[in-house]
Amino acid sequence: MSDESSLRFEFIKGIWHENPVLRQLLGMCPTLAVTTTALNGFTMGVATSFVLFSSSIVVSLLRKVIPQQIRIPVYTIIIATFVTIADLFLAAEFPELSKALGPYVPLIVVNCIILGRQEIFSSKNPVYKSVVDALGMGSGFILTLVILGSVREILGTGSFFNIILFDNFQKWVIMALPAGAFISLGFFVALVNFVSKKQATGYK
Amino acid sequence: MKDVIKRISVLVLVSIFSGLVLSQVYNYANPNIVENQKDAIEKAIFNLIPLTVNYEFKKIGNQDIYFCYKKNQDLAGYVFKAQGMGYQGQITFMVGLNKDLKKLKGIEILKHSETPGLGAKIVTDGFRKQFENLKIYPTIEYAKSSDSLKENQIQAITGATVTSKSIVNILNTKLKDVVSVLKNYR
Repeated sequence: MSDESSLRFEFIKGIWHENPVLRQLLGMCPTLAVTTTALNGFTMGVATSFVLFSSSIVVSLLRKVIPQQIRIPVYTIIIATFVTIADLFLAAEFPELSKALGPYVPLIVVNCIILGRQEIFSSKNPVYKSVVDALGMGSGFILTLVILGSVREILGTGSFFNIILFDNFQKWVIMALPAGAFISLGFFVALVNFVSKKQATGYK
Repeated sequence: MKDVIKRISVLVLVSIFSGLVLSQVYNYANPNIVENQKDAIEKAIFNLIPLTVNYEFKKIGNQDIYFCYKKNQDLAGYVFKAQGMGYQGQITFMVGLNKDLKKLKGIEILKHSETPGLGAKIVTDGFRKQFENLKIYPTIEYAKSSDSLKENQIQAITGATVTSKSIVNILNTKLKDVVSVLKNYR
Protein backbone atom coordinates (compact mmCIF):
# COMPACT_ATOMS: atom_id res chain seq x y z
CA MET A 1 0.00 0.00 0.00
CA SER A 2 1.42 3.37 -0.94
CA ASP A 3 1.75 6.00 1.77
CA GLU A 4 -0.99 8.18 0.35
CA SER A 5 -3.56 5.44 0.00
CA SER A 6 -2.76 4.20 3.51
CA LEU A 7 -3.41 7.72 4.80
CA ARG A 8 -6.69 7.77 2.93
CA PHE A 9 -7.55 4.44 4.51
CA GLU A 10 -6.78 5.79 8.00
CA PHE A 11 -9.21 8.64 7.36
CA ILE A 12 -12.05 6.68 5.71
CA LYS A 13 -11.99 3.92 8.33
CA GLY A 14 -13.11 6.38 11.00
CA ILE A 15 -16.16 7.30 8.96
CA TRP A 16 -17.19 3.83 7.82
CA HIS A 17 -15.35 0.54 8.61
CA GLU A 18 -14.47 1.55 12.14
CA ASN A 19 -16.99 4.32 12.77
CA PRO A 20 -16.56 4.96 16.52
CA VAL A 21 -20.28 4.97 17.30
CA LEU A 22 -21.85 2.66 14.73
CA ARG A 23 -19.16 -0.02 14.40
CA GLN A 24 -17.10 0.17 17.61
CA LEU A 25 -20.12 1.16 19.75
CA LEU A 26 -17.97 3.59 21.75
CA GLY A 27 -18.96 6.99 23.13
CA MET A 28 -22.60 5.96 23.61
CA CYS A 29 -23.32 8.34 26.49
CA PRO A 30 -22.94 11.64 24.58
CA THR A 31 -24.46 10.03 21.48
CA LEU A 32 -27.66 9.18 23.31
CA ALA A 33 -27.79 12.22 25.58
CA VAL A 34 -27.14 15.28 23.41
CA THR A 35 -28.63 14.31 20.05
CA THR A 36 -31.99 15.89 20.88
CA THR A 37 -31.31 18.46 18.16
CA ALA A 38 -28.98 18.50 15.17
CA LEU A 39 -27.15 21.60 16.45
CA ASN A 40 -26.44 20.04 19.84
CA GLY A 41 -25.13 16.91 18.12
CA PHE A 42 -22.92 18.99 15.85
CA THR A 43 -21.46 21.08 18.70
CA MET A 44 -20.80 18.00 20.80
CA GLY A 45 -19.15 16.31 17.80
CA VAL A 46 -16.91 19.30 17.12
CA ALA A 47 -15.91 19.68 20.80
CA THR A 48 -15.09 15.97 21.05
CA SER A 49 -13.17 16.03 17.78
CA PHE A 50 -11.14 19.02 18.96
CA VAL A 51 -10.15 17.12 22.11
CA LEU A 52 -9.41 13.96 20.12
CA PHE A 53 -7.33 15.84 17.55
CA SER A 54 -5.26 17.81 20.08
CA SER A 55 -4.64 14.90 22.45
CA SER A 56 -3.68 12.65 19.55
CA ILE A 57 -0.95 15.11 18.51
CA VAL A 58 0.41 15.45 22.05
CA VAL A 59 0.26 11.73 22.83
CA SER A 60 1.89 10.88 19.52
CA LEU A 61 4.67 13.43 20.15
CA LEU A 62 5.30 12.09 23.63
CA ARG A 63 4.89 8.41 22.75
CA LYS A 64 8.60 7.62 23.23
CA VAL A 65 8.89 9.59 26.48
CA ILE A 66 5.88 8.24 28.37
CA PRO A 67 6.79 5.11 30.36
CA GLN A 68 4.52 2.15 29.58
CA GLN A 69 3.38 1.72 33.20
CA ILE A 70 1.95 5.22 33.64
CA ARG A 71 0.59 5.81 30.15
CA ILE A 72 -3.09 5.82 31.16
CA PRO A 73 -2.79 8.55 33.84
CA VAL A 74 -0.67 10.65 31.46
CA TYR A 75 -3.26 10.28 28.66
CA THR A 76 -5.98 11.20 31.13
CA ILE A 77 -4.19 14.39 32.19
CA ILE A 78 -3.62 15.38 28.56
CA ILE A 79 -7.25 14.67 27.60
CA ALA A 80 -8.61 16.45 30.69
CA THR A 81 -6.53 19.52 29.87
CA PHE A 82 -8.01 19.80 26.39
CA VAL A 83 -11.53 19.11 27.65
CA THR A 84 -11.20 21.95 30.15
CA ILE A 85 -9.93 24.23 27.39
CA ALA A 86 -12.93 23.32 25.20
CA ASP A 87 -15.34 23.82 28.11
CA LEU A 88 -13.92 27.25 29.03
CA PHE A 89 -13.84 28.32 25.40
CA LEU A 90 -17.48 27.37 24.81
CA ALA A 91 -18.59 29.13 28.01
CA ALA A 92 -16.66 32.26 27.05
CA GLU A 93 -17.53 32.50 23.36
CA PHE A 94 -20.79 30.56 22.89
CA PRO A 95 -22.71 30.81 26.18
CA GLU A 96 -25.95 29.60 24.53
CA LEU A 97 -24.40 26.40 23.22
CA SER A 98 -22.52 25.83 26.42
CA LYS A 99 -25.83 26.13 28.26
CA ALA A 100 -27.50 23.63 25.95
CA LEU A 101 -24.77 21.03 26.31
CA GLY A 102 -24.57 21.49 30.07
CA PRO A 103 -22.56 18.83 31.88
CA TYR A 104 -21.83 16.82 28.73
CA VAL A 105 -18.82 18.91 27.74
CA PRO A 106 -16.82 18.12 30.92
CA LEU A 107 -17.90 14.50 30.40
CA ILE A 108 -15.93 14.32 27.13
CA VAL A 109 -13.00 13.43 29.37
CA VAL A 110 -14.45 9.94 29.92
CA ASN A 111 -15.42 9.44 26.27
CA CYS A 112 -13.92 6.04 25.40
CA ILE A 113 -13.38 7.07 21.78
CA ILE A 114 -10.63 9.48 22.82
CA LEU A 115 -8.81 7.25 25.31
CA GLY A 116 -9.30 4.34 22.91
CA ARG A 117 -7.63 6.13 19.99
CA GLN A 118 -4.67 7.17 22.17
CA GLU A 119 -4.15 3.60 23.37
CA ILE A 120 -4.74 1.87 20.02
CA PHE A 121 -3.31 4.37 17.57
CA SER A 122 -1.54 7.57 18.63
CA SER A 123 0.76 5.85 21.13
CA LYS A 124 2.11 3.62 18.35
CA ASN A 125 2.10 5.85 15.26
CA PRO A 126 3.88 8.99 14.07
CA VAL A 127 2.20 12.37 14.38
CA TYR A 128 1.01 12.73 10.77
CA LYS A 129 -0.75 9.36 10.87
CA SER A 130 -2.31 10.08 14.26
CA VAL A 131 -3.64 13.40 12.97
CA VAL A 132 -5.32 11.69 10.00
CA ASP A 133 -6.71 8.98 12.27
CA ALA A 134 -8.10 11.58 14.69
CA LEU A 135 -9.63 13.59 11.84
CA GLY A 136 -11.28 10.47 10.46
CA MET A 137 -12.65 9.32 13.80
CA GLY A 138 -13.77 12.88 14.59
CA SER A 139 -15.59 13.23 11.27
CA GLY A 140 -17.26 9.86 11.80
CA PHE A 141 -18.41 10.96 15.23
CA ILE A 142 -19.69 14.36 14.04
CA LEU A 143 -21.49 12.80 11.08
CA THR A 144 -23.21 10.18 13.22
CA LEU A 145 -24.28 12.71 15.84
CA VAL A 146 -25.61 15.15 13.25
CA ILE A 147 -27.61 12.46 11.42
CA LEU A 148 -29.00 11.07 14.67
CA GLY A 149 -29.73 14.58 15.94
CA SER A 150 -31.47 15.53 12.68
CA VAL A 151 -33.72 12.46 12.72
CA ARG A 152 -34.68 13.05 16.34
CA GLU A 153 -35.15 16.79 15.88
CA ILE A 154 -37.28 16.45 12.73
CA LEU A 155 -39.53 13.76 14.19
CA GLY A 156 -39.51 14.98 17.79
CA THR A 157 -39.92 18.72 17.36
CA GLY A 158 -40.67 19.19 13.66
CA SER A 159 -37.65 21.41 13.05
CA PHE A 160 -34.16 21.11 11.58
CA PHE A 161 -31.22 23.11 12.96
CA ASN A 162 -33.84 25.14 14.88
CA ILE A 163 -35.70 26.04 11.64
CA ILE A 164 -39.35 25.03 11.90
CA LEU A 165 -40.22 22.73 9.00
CA PHE A 166 -43.93 21.98 9.41
CA ASP A 167 -46.66 24.20 10.80
CA ASN A 168 -49.24 21.70 11.90
CA PHE A 169 -47.01 18.88 12.93
CA GLN A 170 -47.99 16.16 15.37
CA LYS A 171 -44.71 15.81 17.27
CA TRP A 172 -43.40 12.34 18.05
CA VAL A 173 -42.65 13.34 21.60
CA ILE A 174 -40.87 10.06 22.29
CA MET A 175 -38.14 10.97 19.78
CA ALA A 176 -37.10 13.92 21.94
CA LEU A 177 -36.93 11.71 25.03
CA PRO A 178 -34.19 9.20 25.92
CA ALA A 179 -36.27 6.31 24.58
CA GLY A 180 -36.22 7.93 21.13
CA ALA A 181 -32.42 8.04 21.30
CA PHE A 182 -32.21 4.30 21.92
CA ILE A 183 -34.77 3.49 19.21
CA SER A 184 -33.17 5.62 16.51
CA LEU A 185 -29.63 4.55 17.39
CA GLY A 186 -30.75 0.90 17.26
CA PHE A 187 -32.25 1.33 13.80
CA PHE A 188 -29.18 3.22 12.66
CA VAL A 189 -26.74 0.54 13.83
CA ALA A 190 -28.92 -2.16 12.24
CA LEU A 191 -28.96 -0.26 8.95
CA VAL A 192 -25.18 0.13 8.92
CA ASN A 193 -24.71 -3.55 9.76
CA PHE A 194 -27.09 -4.51 6.98
CA VAL A 195 -25.31 -2.35 4.41
CA SER A 196 -21.83 -3.51 5.37
CA LYS A 197 -22.94 -7.16 5.24
CA LYS A 198 -24.31 -6.57 1.74
CA GLN A 199 -20.98 -4.97 0.83
CA ALA A 200 -19.00 -7.88 2.23
CA THR A 201 -21.00 -10.48 0.28
CA GLY A 202 -20.78 -8.31 -2.81
CA TYR A 203 -16.98 -8.53 -2.77
CA LYS A 204 -16.95 -12.36 -2.86
CA MET B 1 14.72 2.81 41.16
CA LYS B 2 15.70 4.68 38.04
CA ASP B 3 12.41 3.63 36.43
CA VAL B 4 10.39 4.89 39.37
CA ILE B 5 12.10 8.28 39.25
CA LYS B 6 11.46 8.51 35.52
CA ARG B 7 7.77 7.69 35.94
CA ILE B 8 7.34 10.21 38.73
CA SER B 9 9.14 12.95 36.84
CA VAL B 10 7.14 12.39 33.65
CA LEU B 11 3.84 12.56 35.57
CA VAL B 12 4.94 15.67 37.47
CA LEU B 13 6.14 17.41 34.31
CA VAL B 14 2.97 16.62 32.36
CA SER B 15 0.83 17.86 35.26
CA ILE B 16 2.80 21.08 35.69
CA PHE B 17 2.63 21.79 31.99
CA SER B 18 -1.09 21.10 31.88
CA GLY B 19 -1.60 23.41 34.85
CA LEU B 20 0.34 26.18 33.14
CA VAL B 21 -1.66 25.88 29.93
CA LEU B 22 -4.97 25.81 31.80
CA SER B 23 -4.14 28.88 33.88
CA GLN B 24 -3.45 30.80 30.67
CA VAL B 25 -6.73 29.68 29.07
CA TYR B 26 -8.60 30.48 32.27
CA ASN B 27 -7.13 33.99 32.36
CA TYR B 28 -8.44 34.60 28.87
CA ALA B 29 -11.84 32.91 29.33
CA ASN B 30 -12.90 33.95 32.80
CA PRO B 31 -13.55 37.68 32.17
CA ASN B 32 -15.77 36.68 29.22
CA ILE B 33 -17.65 34.08 31.27
CA VAL B 34 -18.28 36.57 34.10
CA GLU B 35 -19.35 39.15 31.52
CA ASN B 36 -21.74 36.67 29.88
CA GLN B 37 -23.38 35.87 33.21
CA LYS B 38 -23.70 39.54 34.06
CA ASP B 39 -25.19 40.25 30.63
CA ALA B 40 -27.76 37.49 31.05
CA ILE B 41 -28.86 38.86 34.44
CA GLU B 42 -28.97 42.45 33.17
CA LYS B 43 -31.01 41.45 30.12
CA ALA B 44 -33.45 39.60 32.36
CA ILE B 45 -33.87 42.62 34.65
CA PHE B 46 -34.65 45.01 31.79
CA ASN B 47 -37.04 42.49 30.21
CA LEU B 48 -38.90 41.86 33.45
CA ILE B 49 -39.29 45.50 34.44
CA PRO B 50 -39.06 47.53 31.23
CA LEU B 51 -39.34 50.86 33.09
CA THR B 52 -36.02 50.20 34.81
CA VAL B 53 -33.37 52.81 34.14
CA ASN B 54 -30.89 51.72 36.75
CA TYR B 55 -30.76 48.98 39.32
CA GLU B 56 -29.00 48.36 42.58
CA PHE B 57 -27.90 45.05 44.03
CA LYS B 58 -28.64 44.58 47.72
CA LYS B 59 -28.05 41.67 50.04
CA ILE B 60 -30.73 41.70 52.73
CA GLY B 61 -30.51 38.91 55.26
CA ASN B 62 -29.54 35.94 53.14
CA GLN B 63 -31.47 37.09 50.05
CA ASP B 64 -29.87 38.68 46.99
CA ILE B 65 -32.27 41.23 45.52
CA TYR B 66 -31.97 43.71 42.66
CA PHE B 67 -33.84 46.96 43.34
CA CYS B 68 -34.99 48.51 40.07
CA TYR B 69 -35.55 52.24 39.72
CA LYS B 70 -37.48 54.31 37.17
CA LYS B 71 -36.21 57.45 35.49
CA ASN B 72 -37.32 59.67 38.40
CA GLN B 73 -35.60 57.25 40.81
CA ASP B 74 -38.93 55.85 42.06
CA LEU B 75 -38.85 52.17 42.86
CA ALA B 76 -40.18 50.15 39.90
CA GLY B 77 -39.95 46.69 41.42
CA TYR B 78 -37.68 43.94 42.61
CA VAL B 79 -35.86 41.20 40.72
CA PHE B 80 -34.27 38.15 42.25
CA LYS B 81 -32.88 34.81 41.21
CA ALA B 82 -34.67 31.56 42.01
CA GLN B 83 -33.22 28.11 41.60
CA GLY B 84 -34.37 24.55 42.17
CA MET B 85 -34.76 21.06 40.84
CA GLY B 86 -36.80 20.56 37.67
CA TYR B 87 -37.56 17.32 35.86
CA GLN B 88 -34.05 16.58 34.63
CA GLY B 89 -31.86 19.10 36.39
CA GLN B 90 -31.56 22.50 37.98
CA ILE B 91 -33.76 25.31 36.70
CA THR B 92 -32.45 28.83 37.32
CA PHE B 93 -34.64 31.83 36.57
CA MET B 94 -35.06 35.50 37.39
CA VAL B 95 -38.29 36.67 38.96
CA GLY B 96 -39.73 40.17 38.75
CA LEU B 97 -41.84 41.27 41.71
CA ASN B 98 -44.15 44.25 41.84
CA LYS B 99 -43.18 46.90 44.39
CA ASP B 100 -46.45 46.28 46.28
CA LEU B 101 -45.21 42.69 46.86
CA LYS B 102 -48.55 41.29 45.73
CA LYS B 103 -48.10 40.49 42.07
CA LEU B 104 -45.37 39.16 39.81
CA LYS B 105 -43.87 41.08 36.93
CA GLY B 106 -42.87 37.87 35.19
CA ILE B 107 -40.08 35.31 34.97
CA GLU B 108 -37.04 34.87 32.72
CA ILE B 109 -35.38 31.47 32.47
CA LEU B 110 -31.59 31.65 32.73
CA LYS B 111 -30.65 27.99 32.73
CA HIS B 112 -32.48 24.68 32.47
CA SER B 113 -32.04 21.17 31.14
CA GLU B 114 -35.67 20.16 30.61
CA THR B 115 -36.86 17.87 27.81
CA PRO B 116 -36.72 19.58 24.40
CA GLY B 117 -40.20 19.99 22.93
CA LEU B 118 -41.88 19.51 26.31
CA GLY B 119 -40.42 20.97 29.51
CA ALA B 120 -38.13 23.20 27.47
CA LYS B 121 -41.26 25.17 26.52
CA ILE B 122 -40.83 27.07 29.81
CA VAL B 123 -38.65 29.49 27.85
CA THR B 124 -41.45 30.31 25.38
CA ASP B 125 -43.45 33.52 25.72
CA GLY B 126 -46.68 31.53 25.89
CA PHE B 127 -45.68 29.97 29.17
CA ARG B 128 -43.78 32.88 30.69
CA LYS B 129 -46.44 35.51 29.89
CA GLN B 130 -48.76 33.70 32.32
CA PHE B 131 -46.62 34.96 35.19
CA GLU B 132 -47.18 38.60 34.33
CA ASN B 133 -49.49 40.18 36.90
CA LEU B 134 -49.96 36.83 38.60
CA LYS B 135 -51.21 37.12 42.16
CA ILE B 136 -48.84 35.53 44.66
CA TYR B 137 -51.37 35.16 47.49
CA PRO B 138 -52.11 32.78 49.10
CA THR B 139 -49.71 30.78 46.91
CA ILE B 140 -49.17 30.38 43.18
CA GLU B 141 -50.88 27.29 41.80
CA TYR B 142 -50.93 25.40 38.54
CA ALA B 143 -53.95 24.02 36.73
CA LYS B 144 -54.06 21.33 34.09
CA SER B 145 -56.76 22.86 31.91
CA SER B 146 -57.10 26.41 30.70
CA ASP B 147 -60.74 26.94 31.66
CA SER B 148 -61.51 28.99 34.77
CA LEU B 149 -57.95 29.90 35.63
CA LYS B 150 -57.90 31.89 38.84
CA GLU B 151 -55.81 35.00 39.37
CA ASN B 152 -53.11 33.04 41.15
CA GLN B 153 -53.05 30.11 38.71
CA ILE B 154 -51.02 29.27 35.64
CA GLN B 155 -51.72 26.54 33.14
CA ALA B 156 -49.24 23.67 33.21
CA ILE B 157 -47.49 22.70 29.97
CA THR B 158 -49.17 19.66 28.42
CA GLY B 159 -46.88 16.67 28.85
CA ALA B 160 -44.60 18.54 31.23
CA THR B 161 -46.59 18.80 34.43
CA VAL B 162 -43.54 17.97 36.55
CA THR B 163 -41.59 20.89 35.08
CA SER B 164 -44.50 23.30 35.53
CA LYS B 165 -45.05 22.09 39.09
CA SER B 166 -41.33 22.50 39.88
CA ILE B 167 -41.34 26.11 38.69
CA VAL B 168 -44.41 26.88 40.81
CA ASN B 169 -42.87 25.19 43.87
CA ILE B 170 -39.51 26.92 43.45
CA LEU B 171 -41.32 30.24 43.05
CA ASN B 172 -43.52 29.79 46.12
CA THR B 173 -40.61 28.81 48.36
CA LYS B 174 -38.39 31.66 47.19
CA LEU B 175 -41.21 34.24 47.24
CA LYS B 176 -41.99 33.44 50.86
CA ASP B 177 -38.40 34.21 51.88
CA VAL B 178 -38.01 37.27 49.68
CA VAL B 179 -41.34 38.85 50.60
CA SER B 180 -40.80 38.42 54.34
CA VAL B 181 -37.31 39.91 54.06
CA LEU B 182 -38.57 42.87 52.00
CA LYS B 183 -41.48 43.52 54.35
CA ASN B 184 -39.13 43.83 57.31
CA TYR B 185 -36.74 45.94 55.29
CA ARG B 186 -39.22 48.72 54.60
